Amino acid sequence: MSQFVQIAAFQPDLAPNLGSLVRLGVCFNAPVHVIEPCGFPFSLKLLKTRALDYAEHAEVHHHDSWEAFEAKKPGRLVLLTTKGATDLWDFKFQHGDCLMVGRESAGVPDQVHDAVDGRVKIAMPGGGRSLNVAISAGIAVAEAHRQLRG
Amino acid sequence: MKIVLVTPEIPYNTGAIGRTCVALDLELILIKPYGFSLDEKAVRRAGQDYWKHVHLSEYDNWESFLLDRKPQQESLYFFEEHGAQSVYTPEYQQDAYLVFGCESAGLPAEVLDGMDDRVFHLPMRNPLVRSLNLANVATAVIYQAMRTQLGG
Repeated sequence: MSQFVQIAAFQPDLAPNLGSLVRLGVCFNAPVHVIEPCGFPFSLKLLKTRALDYAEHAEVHHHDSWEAFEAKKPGRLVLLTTKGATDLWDFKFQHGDCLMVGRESAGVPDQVHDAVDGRVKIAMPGGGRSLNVAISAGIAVAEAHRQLRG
Repeated sequence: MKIVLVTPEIPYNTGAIGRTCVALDLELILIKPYGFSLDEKAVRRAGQDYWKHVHLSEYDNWESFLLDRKPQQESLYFFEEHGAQSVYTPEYQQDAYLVFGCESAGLPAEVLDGMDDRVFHLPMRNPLVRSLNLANVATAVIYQAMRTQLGG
């Protein structure tokens, strides 16, 4: 199967959300990149437990820092953000794109916001500050799949 | 549009879906029985401080929901892994009810009876694995259903 998209979690605060992202990655054949520091001790074994019975299918890449991740840059970086961004529906996804979510508590620092290749926001006409990071990633991955499914 | 969860089992999922309903200003309809109490901390934790803003309705069972709301068949959209059509296919009605089953068993046969052409699935890319969790599937589906209303 051709490469679809990838998922990146920037300094995730909460292990259950990272588990959900890994499960999302498995269902869509999307590798997951974890960028340290995490808000919890990162353990591949524990993470795979959280991804339930999909452990053997999970492809997880662990990066020591933003700088280490950026140096390897796995694809076009597309940040899901609430700030100054293109509407999800107007963004043209490409195969190999890496969809990145920020920290639950603080998003990403300006330096990272400025360094990415695309910024996508998910409409919230009812208000509220944000959606859960794993929920947001699922919404974006489903839209990318709609656009790229051929 | 309205979101319907039929006998949800896991408080996290209902809370997370509730949070998304607030973000989209959609009513959340729950069909009893639940596998948890709505007072549980887990619901509010997943829904964060949004849970208190959820426009929530509850029904004792599917029949009382049908009796009260009297939905047209064309406005009912059921979501199941085995649904014959993709969620990307339909033009969703403005007054659509998006209906999701419980985490362990999906929607009961009596709800789906006669509704074969109303069942949809979210396509994924790995045929080896079973499914996403309910909150992830439901929220991705809800946004797809709302796409044209949201300008997409």
